[in-house]
Amino acid sequence: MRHWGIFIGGLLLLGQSDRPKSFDHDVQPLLTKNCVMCHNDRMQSGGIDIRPFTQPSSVLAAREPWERVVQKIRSGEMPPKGLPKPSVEEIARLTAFLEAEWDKADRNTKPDPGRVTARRLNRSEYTNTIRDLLAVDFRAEKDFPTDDSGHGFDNIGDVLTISPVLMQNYLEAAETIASRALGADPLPAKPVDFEYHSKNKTIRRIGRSNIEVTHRVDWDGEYEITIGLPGERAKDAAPVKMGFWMDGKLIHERMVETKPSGLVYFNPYSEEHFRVFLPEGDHVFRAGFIDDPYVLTLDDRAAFSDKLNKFLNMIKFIGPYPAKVERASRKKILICDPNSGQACVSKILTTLARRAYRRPVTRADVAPLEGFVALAKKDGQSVEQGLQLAIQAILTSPHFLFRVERHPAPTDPLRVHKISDSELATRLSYFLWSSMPDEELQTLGESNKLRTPSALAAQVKRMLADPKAAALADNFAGQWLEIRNLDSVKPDPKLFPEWGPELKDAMRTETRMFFESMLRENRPLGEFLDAKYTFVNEVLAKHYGIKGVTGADFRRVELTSAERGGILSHASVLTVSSYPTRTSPVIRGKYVLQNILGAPPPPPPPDVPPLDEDAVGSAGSLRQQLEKHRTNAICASCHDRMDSMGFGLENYDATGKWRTKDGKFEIDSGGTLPNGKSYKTPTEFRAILREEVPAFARCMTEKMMTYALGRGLERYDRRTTDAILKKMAASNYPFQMLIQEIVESFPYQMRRGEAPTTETAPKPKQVATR
Amino acid sequence: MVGVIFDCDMGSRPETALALAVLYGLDGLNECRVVVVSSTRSNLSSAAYCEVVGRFYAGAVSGAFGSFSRTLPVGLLADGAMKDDTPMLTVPLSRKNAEGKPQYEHGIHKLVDTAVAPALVRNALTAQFDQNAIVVLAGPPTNLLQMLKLRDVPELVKAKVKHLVAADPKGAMALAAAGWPTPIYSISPSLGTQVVFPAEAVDKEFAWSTAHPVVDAYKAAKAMPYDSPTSELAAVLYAVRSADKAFALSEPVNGVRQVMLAPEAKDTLLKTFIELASAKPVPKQRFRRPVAADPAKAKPEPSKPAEPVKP
Amino acid sequence: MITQKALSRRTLLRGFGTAIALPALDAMAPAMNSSKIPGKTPVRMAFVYVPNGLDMRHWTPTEEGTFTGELPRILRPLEPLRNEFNILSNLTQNGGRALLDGAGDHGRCCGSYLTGVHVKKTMVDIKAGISCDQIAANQVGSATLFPSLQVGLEDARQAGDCDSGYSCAYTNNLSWKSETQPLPPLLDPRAMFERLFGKGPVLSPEARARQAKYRKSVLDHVTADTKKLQGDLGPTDRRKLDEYLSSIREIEKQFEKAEGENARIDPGMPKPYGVPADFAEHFRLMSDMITVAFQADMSRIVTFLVTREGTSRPYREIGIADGHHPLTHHQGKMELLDKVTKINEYHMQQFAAWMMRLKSIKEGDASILDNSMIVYGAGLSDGNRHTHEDLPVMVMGRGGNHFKGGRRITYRKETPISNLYLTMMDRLGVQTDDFGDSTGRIDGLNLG
Repeated sequence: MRHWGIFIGGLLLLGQSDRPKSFDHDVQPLLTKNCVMCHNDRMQSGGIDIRPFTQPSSVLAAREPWERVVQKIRSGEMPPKGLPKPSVEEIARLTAFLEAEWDKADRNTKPDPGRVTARRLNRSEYTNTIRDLLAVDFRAEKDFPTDDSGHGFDNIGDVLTISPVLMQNYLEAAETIASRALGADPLPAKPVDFEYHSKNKTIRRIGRSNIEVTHRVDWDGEYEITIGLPGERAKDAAPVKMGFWMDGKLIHERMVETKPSGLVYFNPYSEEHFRVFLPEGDHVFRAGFIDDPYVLTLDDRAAFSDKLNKFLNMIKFIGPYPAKVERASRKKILICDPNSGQACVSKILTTLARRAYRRPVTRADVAPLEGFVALAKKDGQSVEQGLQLAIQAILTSPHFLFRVERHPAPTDPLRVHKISDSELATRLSYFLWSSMPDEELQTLGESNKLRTPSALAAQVKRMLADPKAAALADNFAGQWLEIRNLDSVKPDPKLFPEWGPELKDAMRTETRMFFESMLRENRPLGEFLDAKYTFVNEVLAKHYGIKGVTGADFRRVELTSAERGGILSHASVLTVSSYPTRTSPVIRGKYVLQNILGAPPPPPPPDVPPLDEDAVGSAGSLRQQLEKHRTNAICASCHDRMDSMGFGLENYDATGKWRTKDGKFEIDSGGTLPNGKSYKTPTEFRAILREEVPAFARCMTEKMMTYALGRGLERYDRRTTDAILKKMAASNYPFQMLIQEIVESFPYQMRRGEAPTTETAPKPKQVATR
Repeated sequence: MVGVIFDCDMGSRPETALALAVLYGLDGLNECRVVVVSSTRSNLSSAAYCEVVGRFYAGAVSGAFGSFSRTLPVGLLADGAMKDDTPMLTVPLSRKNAEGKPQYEHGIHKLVDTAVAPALVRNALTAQFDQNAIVVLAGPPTNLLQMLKLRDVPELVKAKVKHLVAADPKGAMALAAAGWPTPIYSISPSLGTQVVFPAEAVDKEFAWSTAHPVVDAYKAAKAMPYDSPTSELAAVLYAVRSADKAFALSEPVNGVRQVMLAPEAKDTLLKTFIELASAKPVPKQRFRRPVAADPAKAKPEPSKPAEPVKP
Repeated sequence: MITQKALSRRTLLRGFGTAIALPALDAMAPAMNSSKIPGKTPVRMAFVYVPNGLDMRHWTPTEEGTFTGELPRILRPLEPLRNEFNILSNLTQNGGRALLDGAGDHGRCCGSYLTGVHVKKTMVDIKAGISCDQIAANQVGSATLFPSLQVGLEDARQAGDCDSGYSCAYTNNLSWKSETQPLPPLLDPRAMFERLFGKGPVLSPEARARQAKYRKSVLDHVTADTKKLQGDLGPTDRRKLDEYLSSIREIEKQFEKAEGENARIDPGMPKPYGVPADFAEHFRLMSDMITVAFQADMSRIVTFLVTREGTSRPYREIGIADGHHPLTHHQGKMELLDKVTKINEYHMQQFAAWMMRLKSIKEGDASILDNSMIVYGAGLSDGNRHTHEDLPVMVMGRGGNHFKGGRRITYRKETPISNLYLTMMDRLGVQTDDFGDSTGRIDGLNLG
């Protein structure tokens, strides 16, 4: 059971005098008064007869159904509109009583660590693991199908499947990576050039000062890049900074003159040349001006007139040229000279297999690998080519592709055991780094020293300080806060002309850097909600109306105005929770409930189309329209909760820009939450949210646990989350403590078996579960 | 609330129209929901008339697919040649109102306006809670036998259907022989002839409506006055009110138990039939509460028949 | 197109080895008498899925039977092919309905679309059924290099939930190899190209043989390793590794077949670079490659997930800045409905262009289109109300001189769409008595 987080306005309203007393006092009257009239033996509305629940013994005997009953009551789904509702206090009393009973019961049962399904590496884990194992830059997300996700994360063992397509990808990737790692394929004798030019329509224009192209780099190596820049600006025009990005990452920047060169051209034109190292693979390259306010003053015609403006129209790649230094991958693999004899080959393979399989290896592991070298040699191939084949086998092996945890009694669900230190090291590194353990961690694991006092905590501390911990921001925060969806949202360029790749990248970077700084500086979790600082570069600062920030580099700024504070004022969050053309208080409200407060609204009842938000503009403001709709009884119970959260963010448009008007309507960003607390400004809204830090911390703990364990949370995990939260509350929720506590928790350290299933053919409809 | 599937051969006997009226009467009391109506009479008017009755009472047939107000189609057996129309179908269907428009609207004009009965009933069952559906058979078991042959249907029936009540022992036997997996009851033939629905009641008890499709059908079926047997009415009533003291049960024979008339129960049973069959339509509410068993309240104040739904 | 310069390396690579040249796609191709297709011409089956329902007012022809007069707005791009397809009315997907599972029609209707089952409402332990294309692929797919192909145009949602408690697996995939193993569509034209026509340079016959041998030995090795590993595992872990093993077996078969061919197909098109920003171009690239796969008989079974159910993709290229899904909840507003229709038309234009290419490629006396049966449709009819009956269903092509086109055929209500799939599987020679929630075959499609 998830989402047992404190229900807003529920328990919080319980005073000391209202502590739960007894079943007959707290539970039974509500059922009799509010439920039995429909859910009796004769009516059985919805197939439910509630009378068995009026017996005290049902609390423990029928816990699962009871939990569903509570959820329906708590969410306001039951009793339905139009029938008398229990008061908030009555609900709180019922909930408190039942939870206390269940807690008591849980304390008396044997703790269950749950079971994590063998997980194959997902795309980012594969990419990172290849990077750390072989020092090869391989982008699995370019080649492999998208990983399915469950519970909001794409590292959940149960949903990660292998299809034949993916298997072929694995096999081919193994060939490619092995070959690139050893560099056995020679570079072409002569560099090849590829030119992408606007006149051939081979480049994409992104805005006025950016061009983009997808180009395949066939060999790791250095390349000479040429950028074509037609046109010129006024005599006194200032130079402008030009950037060159690969896959969204700035890899080169330089200042470019825009004023007339003084040379006589029929068509003014200049070029910029530079050399960069590019890894093999398909990449999106972008060249463009960073911070170029001048083009915004031009109309469309003028922007591409070479008499009035300087712009970009060509990218050329010439290469490859051998990199000046030996590739890191060879250094990493060839720890001795493999031509020196079998001893060295064995040493190389043993080392590699141990690292790739993330555990000590035996002769049985290494001997077949040596067989591959022998096989290649027999075919007249070189030893290095033989090693290449062996690496291919390693990278295709289930020991590499899957994170399998062994169990002494795999089919006994009652047998709980401690996972091995090596397995713990692997859990740890994929949790914090989305990659394999490094040498230090693996050694500790293999020597069973990882669990010695303070060793584990010290490792976590060390790992969080490592740059690789940025993976938590990319993979955990990217999914938790839905920032990854920045790639699929498409704000309307007519309404939001500022929207473009730089702004998108800047939004992503802001949230990532903020998350990382929260983590690395071990800030209290509450700061997620109202931190008065953030990270911006010029593009984003302009978007936010923050003065005095120039350049592409991000820096920390203190937020002095009331407009911003905390992640809910990050443009990234506000953009992914909007429609392409406008904001949606409903989506934003749902976002807050789901991702911040851990109290997602129930899905709409069957057959009710989503609230009609589309008739905006003519008849009244969006807010008025929404309010009108909320007079509809069926919708109101949930939308009261959702919308009142979303309205607090109405001062931000669909790309997160501050605004005071929506079209011709003044923004009214006030609202009243179902618990009666009201706010008038985003600042007040934030202040109210700040009071919900316990709920937020629970939400984040549950999400972090899900991510860390690679499985959805079950009821038996509640004990763990409760304990972690209790401890954290005492120290004001420091971020790293959350990580430390999860790592040391029972489900993270332990594992149990799984009973063999006796599943039969699927029935047309499973037994109704409501 | 239990859902009822009513499979009949509407058009063959006037009794069937009365039985459907009893079913909607129970629905109006919130004792059951009409889930789906289907007919084995391979005749378009048969389906059209079922829809007319449904619209008369319910505005729309209750949504079985978990919908608020979606009309479920009427199921019909279509086995090649169409059977002849009968007056009990054609007379109400062709009745015109003062403006010369059809008195009773319906949306069934072509065979494709009807549903394939076995698929319809099967699909309707998938949308029911476990053990929360009852099947009433008031005609030959053709539709149900066809359905029973579909993949996974026996398991589905076992999960969803509390029991089946057949008006006719032959249908019950055939289903039992085909392996119908839940209890089967059939109405003892003697019950249907002992308790007869009097022509007088058709004249008097429905007088609250100037145009009643069940009355029109009844009067057109045969020369009035005539009384009708009540096996099908009893099947409906027993399906929903199996605890009614008017009924007694036999020991099972070949897996079927016969429903017989309890001693001295003839008059009360007839009274119940008349009350339910002549009950007024009750507008649909989203959340329904049981109506008190008080007969005075069982017939609410006259209300407009629910709006007919456009096809 | 890429400049000639940019093409040079690839063109050069193609010079090596033996390659079968197929007629260029953009030319009106002359008859291809490939020796690959002996005797009987194969029948192909494809499913093209569009999300969020369709504007049924502009889909269903008013008249029953043979099309008369102008086609409805959405079908109009198919005017030149009006005798090549049928519109089937009243088919139902019962599995897509709530059936007590509450909200989530988008998640459900896509999961049930080709599987004919009511999918399990879950975020994690997904469960659907084997889809009809995979039943066919299992039985008759071994005739071709790829038993089946899955393609799509929209990347899976990266974060958040997909629909009211339904795993994204249900909306990201059409094909299900087993109840628990969806087959994700290939989205990137380059990845599709490499899958079909091979990756890396064309090798010499010796190098090819060596590669095949090495791949086989690697796969043998990991298979043996996996079996050893499985012994120590619980049931779910074992099932995961079973998926891995069955995938290995499938690509082993594929490699064996490819080896037998002893030549590589030259598709006559440059290798695409990544995903084009332009939707129509993306559609064209993917459909071109399916066309080549059909033409060269590399596969006969395809599922094509145009965009995902519930997608909020806007279509600025045709002036629609709002997301597709929000638009479909138009509540009857004409202005919004019109935008939905425009999106429906836009999808159809791309599909029509593809179908015309299939029609233009001759195979003996007929065309590839004549030897295909391609279902175009959606898992919802009315996207506003989420209805699962009277689905929009089009069957394009003659299924090998078997189907008669040019008509609207209406079935009786509640006729399962599974009945259509069963009928189509018959045409492929699949032996099965029933499928999903089928109640029999459908009639009326056939000639005469």
